Amino acid sequence: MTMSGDDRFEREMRSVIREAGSSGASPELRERVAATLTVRPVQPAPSGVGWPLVAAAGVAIVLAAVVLRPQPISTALPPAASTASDQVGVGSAVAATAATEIPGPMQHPGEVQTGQLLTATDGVVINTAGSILTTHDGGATWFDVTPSAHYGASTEHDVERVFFLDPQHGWFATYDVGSPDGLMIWRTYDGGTGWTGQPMPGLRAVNWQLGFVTPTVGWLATDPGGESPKPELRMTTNSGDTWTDPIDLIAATGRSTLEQIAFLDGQHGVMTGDNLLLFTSDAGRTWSPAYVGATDYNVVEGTPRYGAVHVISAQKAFVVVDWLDPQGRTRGQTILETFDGGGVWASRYSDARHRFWDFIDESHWVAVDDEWVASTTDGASWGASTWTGLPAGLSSAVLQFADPMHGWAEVAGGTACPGGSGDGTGLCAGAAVVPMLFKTIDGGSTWSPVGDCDPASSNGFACPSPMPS
Amino acid sequence: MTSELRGQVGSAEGFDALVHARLDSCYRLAAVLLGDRAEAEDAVHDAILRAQRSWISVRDGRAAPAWLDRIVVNECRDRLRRRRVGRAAMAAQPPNDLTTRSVDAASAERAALRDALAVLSVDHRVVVVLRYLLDLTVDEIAARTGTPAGTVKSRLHHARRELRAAYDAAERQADR
Repeated sequence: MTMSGDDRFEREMRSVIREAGSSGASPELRERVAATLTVRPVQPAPSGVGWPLVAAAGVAIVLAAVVLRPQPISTALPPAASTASDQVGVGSAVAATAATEIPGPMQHPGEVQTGQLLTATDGVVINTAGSILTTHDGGATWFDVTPSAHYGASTEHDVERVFFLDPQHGWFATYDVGSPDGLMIWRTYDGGTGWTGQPMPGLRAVNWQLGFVTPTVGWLATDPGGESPKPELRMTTNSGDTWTDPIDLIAATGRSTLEQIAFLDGQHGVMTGDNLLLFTSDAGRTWSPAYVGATDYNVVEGTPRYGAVHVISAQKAFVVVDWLDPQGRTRGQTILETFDGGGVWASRYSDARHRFWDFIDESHWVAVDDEWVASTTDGASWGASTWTGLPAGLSSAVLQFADPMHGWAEVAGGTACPGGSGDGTGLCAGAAVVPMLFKTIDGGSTWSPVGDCDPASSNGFACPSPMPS
Repeated sequence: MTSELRGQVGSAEGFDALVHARLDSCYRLAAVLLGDRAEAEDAVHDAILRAQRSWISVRDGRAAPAWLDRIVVNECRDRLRRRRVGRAAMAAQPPNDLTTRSVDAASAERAALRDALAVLSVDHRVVVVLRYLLDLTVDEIAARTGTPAGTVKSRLHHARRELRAAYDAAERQADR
């Protein structure tokens, strides 16, 4: 592939898209909009139900929303005591509550776009309506645990990701561009029955990462985006009641973009990205290049892209390295393992293939590609079988296995290519699948959708009938 | 436009100014995302209604255009997801606006790109259109989609790979 080919592709791509968007609004649309603008909606007064619209200067407000299931009924958490002396006083003041009763268990969670498998039976998903739903029976029934005040407060806050440490402790954050409220962090200690919302006044965070290693110790990485990047890192030791002063990640790492961050404990963390593997042993204040031992370059070569960190314990973690060719295609992979919290990494496995991985524990690994599921208990000997139920031409998947048998796969961007692509990527032009979540209970041999399945959009895989529970 | 808005955020006049200044851009964005002019008009109209209801929450006029774009993107994304089928259906019967408008005059590669764009996943299509139609940076796309910059980069990478595969396949076909 020559540069001129790349340039031509870029030019044609831009031209095709701009051609499709070359027309402006029609006179009819202008008339409709003008009519809309002449009718002013009544702006509702702040209802006071769980939204912190009144804040005295210098006083942060903690918002608590209580979502009641039919049973049991639970109240919001009391704020945990602050223990860190270097933490600033965000979220140390007034609490307000709101309560909404939600319907009982549902049979289906709707169209699911992402999720997190926590145990063989516990999981949490976000559906395409932006609702957070949990299951405690392997998906037979679901509870909508979306904090109601969240949606009562803003129509533009989309919940796109949640982070659950276990079935009880979960967090998510929202940020509304243009709003002065700053990032809002929500947490639950009871599986979503009660939520506490905490504003971070003035904290602009178009991009954010939020994670916890225990119910109290966590990190928050943010970037305001735009033309003045300012990635920052904050730590908490009291569940997010207070956060440390921000650490300037540009100064600490030399990187102006917010890269992937994961902590193994309150001190040891890893930052990964394209040709980037850094570690910290002082809670993010300083970052250094990690040492990577010899890799089998006979199998793979190219530019390394260090992927998400799979944390096993405070000392041990895995990282999958994609080796990219000049066109950005994955030509092979290496599995790196650390035993010291991220400072030193050793190569455990290399192969000239492109797989999607999960590491259940130190010895159990699972890998899926566009045809096979493979697993190992020692990183050396493998068992493999072809899978059924996932979309043909699987090209992107995030695996989460709770144990060697039970797993979820978040799948997006697969393209069917019956005759092979001929370019080594395994991909070709054709119908792509809608991002969906799938589950397996037999170690990955058979998969079925989590949530509703529409045969018309399933593109190559058969929706089970009746719907799986 | 932005400077005009600074003193008007939250006011009806400020919202009118924003909409009038951004209507063409919003429509173009919706038209490419949805691939259907009539639905794009509906989407823009509905997005403006939603924006009008929450305009009072906007405090920073500089962020207002991105805020409005985000509402339009969300509206289009919701419609595409409701369509869902659209993706499989479009593969067999591409949307009229995106695919047939100039197929006679276009090269095979351009036709292949249009077809491939029409069947991209919703999230992939959104980032590609924001990148190539509006020339936005990764961070600016992140602001309009509410996703981390890393996710935007990943989606752009995968989307471009799919589009490039279609383009290369058409190119090889044309060379035969």
